[in-house]
Amino acid sequence: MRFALKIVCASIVVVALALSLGASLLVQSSFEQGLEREKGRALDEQDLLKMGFETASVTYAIQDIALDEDTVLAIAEQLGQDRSLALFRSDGGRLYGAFSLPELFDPEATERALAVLQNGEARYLYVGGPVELGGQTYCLLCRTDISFLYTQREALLTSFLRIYGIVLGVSALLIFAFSALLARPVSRLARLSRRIAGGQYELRAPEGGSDEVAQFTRDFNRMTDALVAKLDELSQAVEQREAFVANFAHELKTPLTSIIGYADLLRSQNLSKERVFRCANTIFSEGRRLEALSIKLLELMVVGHEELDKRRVNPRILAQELEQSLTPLMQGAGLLLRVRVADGALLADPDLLKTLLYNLVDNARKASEPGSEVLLRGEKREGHYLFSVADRGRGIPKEEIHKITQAFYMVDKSRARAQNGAGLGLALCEKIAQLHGGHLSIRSELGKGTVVQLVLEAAA
Amino acid sequence: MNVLIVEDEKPINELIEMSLSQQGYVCDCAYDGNTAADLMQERNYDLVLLDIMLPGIDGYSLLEYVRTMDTPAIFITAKGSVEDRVKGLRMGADDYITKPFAIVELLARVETVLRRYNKGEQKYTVGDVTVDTVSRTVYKAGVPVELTLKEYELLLLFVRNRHIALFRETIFQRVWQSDYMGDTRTIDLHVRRLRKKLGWEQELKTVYKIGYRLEI
Repeated sequence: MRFALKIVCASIVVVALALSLGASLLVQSSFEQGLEREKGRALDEQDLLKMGFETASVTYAIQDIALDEDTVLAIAEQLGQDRSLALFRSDGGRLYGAFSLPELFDPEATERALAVLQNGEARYLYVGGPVELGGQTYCLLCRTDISFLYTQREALLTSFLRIYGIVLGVSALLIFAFSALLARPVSRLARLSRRIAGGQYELRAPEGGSDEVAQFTRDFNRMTDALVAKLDELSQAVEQREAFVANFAHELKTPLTSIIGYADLLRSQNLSKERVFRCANTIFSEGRRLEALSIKLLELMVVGHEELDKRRVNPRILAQELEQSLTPLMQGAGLLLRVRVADGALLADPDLLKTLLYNLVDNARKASEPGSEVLLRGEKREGHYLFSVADRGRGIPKEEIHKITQAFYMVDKSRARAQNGAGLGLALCEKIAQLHGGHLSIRSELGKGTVVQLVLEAAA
Repeated sequence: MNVLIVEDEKPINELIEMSLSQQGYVCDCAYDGNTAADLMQERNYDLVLLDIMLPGIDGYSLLEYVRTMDTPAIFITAKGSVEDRVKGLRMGADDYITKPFAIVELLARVETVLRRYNKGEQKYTVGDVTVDTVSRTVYKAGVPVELTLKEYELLLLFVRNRHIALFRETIFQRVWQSDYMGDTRTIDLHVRRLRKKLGWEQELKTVYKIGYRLEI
C-alpha cells in the first residue's frame, strides 16, 4: 500500500469519526433543547389552564353557582376551545377531552407528571396534574403535539449525512493531494536509490529545505558518497591485486619457461658441448632469478603481516652496522659508500629499517657506474628524522618516478634482469616506510643521479 | 623458412631460436618492438612469433603491422587468460602459445600455421623415404608403402621432429590425442610396424626409458 494512501485512510477515519461525533452531539443537543422548551411551555400551559379553572370556579362561586360536574364541564369546554386538554375524575373516568388517560398517569396523583408518548406517527407531550374544583379533585391533562421536533431531527440528520458525504469526499481528495505532495520527495528518493543500486553510482538527490525529508536526503547523499568512496577503494584494491597477480604470474612464468624449455632441450636433443653449457647456464641463472623473486616476495608478504618490533633506535649506530655489511658489496662494484648519519632517536623496527636502507643503497649501487660514490645521510629536522640516499648513477625518467614503488615495476627490464632484480625492492621499502608512518620521496635526473628521501617521526 | 622471433626475455628468445634452427628454420631475433618493426620492413618473413608485453611497440600493435604484410603470426605470452587469447586471436593472430610451453608443442604449432598458409613443407624426404602430406602417401625408394592412419601420423611426428627424443607421453598426446595412461604397448607396436615397413630398424632409435628418436 502506498504511503499517501495510508495517510488518506488514517486521516479519513479520524475526520469521519470527528465529524459524526460532533454532528450527532449537535443534533441531539438541539433536539433536547427543543424538547426542554416544549416541556416548559407545556408546564406553563397546564399552569395557565389550572389557573383558568380556578379563576372560573371563583367566578362561579361569586355568582353562587354550585360547582358540580356540569359547571366544570362547561368551564372545560370553554377553556378547551383552542387547547388540547382533558379532564378526568379521580376514578379515571373522563369528564372532558378528546383523548383518554394514558396508563402512565395516576388520576389520584397529587404531583404534576410529564410524559412523552407515541401515538402512531405522532408524538405527544402530556402534562397532568390535580386541580380542585368545588371540593372535587380532578386530573387536568394537557397534550402538546411535539412530532415536529422529531421530524426536525430527522431532517437535520439527513441533511447532515449529505454534507458528511461531501465533506469526507473533499477532504479525502485534499488529504490525498497533500500526502502525495509530502510523499513525493520520499518516492523520488526511493526511485533514485533504485537507480543507484542499479549501478548509476554518480547520481545524487537534489538537496534543499530543512524538514526531516531534506535531512534524510542529505544523509542519504552522504551515505551514498561514503559507499561509493568505499566501493572505489575496494575496486582499486582489487585492481591492484589483479595487477599484482598478473605481474607475479608473468615474473614467475618467464624464468619457468626458460627452465622448462632448456631442460626439455637438454633431455630430448643431442646438443653440442657448447650448447649443453649454455642451456645449463641459463637454467642456473633463471633458477637464481626465481630464487631472488621468491625471497623478495616472501619479505614483502611477511612485512605486511608480522607485528612491528618498534624500539628506540639511534640512527647513527644503525648506519654504522649497515655500513659494515654494505662496504664489501660496494667495494666489489667499485663504488665508494660514504655514510654521514647524525645522532638521533627514532621509534622503529631496527631490522626493517635496516632492510629499507640496505635496499635503497643497493638500488643506488645498481644504478651507478664503477668509480662513483653513494652517500647515505641522516639528520634531525624539527621533530623529524631525515634519511637520504644519493647516487650519481643513471637516474630515472621523470614519467616513471611515480610508478617505481609499484611491485614488479622495472624501469629497465633487461638491466634489472641482469642484476637478478624482480622489481620488488622499492615496493618493499615503501611498505616498510608506511608501516613506520613515513614515506619515500624520490628526486631524480637522467644521467645525473637519484636522491631518495625517507622522513620519519623522531622519538621524544 | 624465415622466422622472426620477437621476445624481450633473452633466454626465451634463444630457446625458441635454438629449437627452431635445429629443425632447419632460419631465425632472426628481436628483443623489442622497434627492432622487430625495423626487421620486418627489411626482410620478408614466413612467420612471426610475438610476445605481447614488449618494450617499445607492444605485441598487439606489432600484430596489426604484421597483418598488413599477410604474414602469419603466433603469440607467445605469459598472459594465459581466456580473454587474452580471444583478444589475440580476434586481432588476427593465427595461434597462441602460453608460457611455459613444451618445445614439441611450439614446433607443432609453427608447422600447423605454416601449413595453413601453404608455406610449410608439403613433401618431406628423409633418407630414401618420401612423405607427401598433400596426397597422404609414403614412398620408400619410389615404391608406395601402405600405412594405417595412426602409423602415418606417427611417421609425420617423427619426420617433423627429427633428432628430438620424443617422449612416450608426447607421442601419445600428439598421435592419439589423449592423455598417456602408462600403456606403452600401443606405441611400441606402432613403432615396430613402422620400422618394419620402412626398413628403419637403425634410424628409429629407442631412447632408453624415454621414447624414440628419428636419427637421419
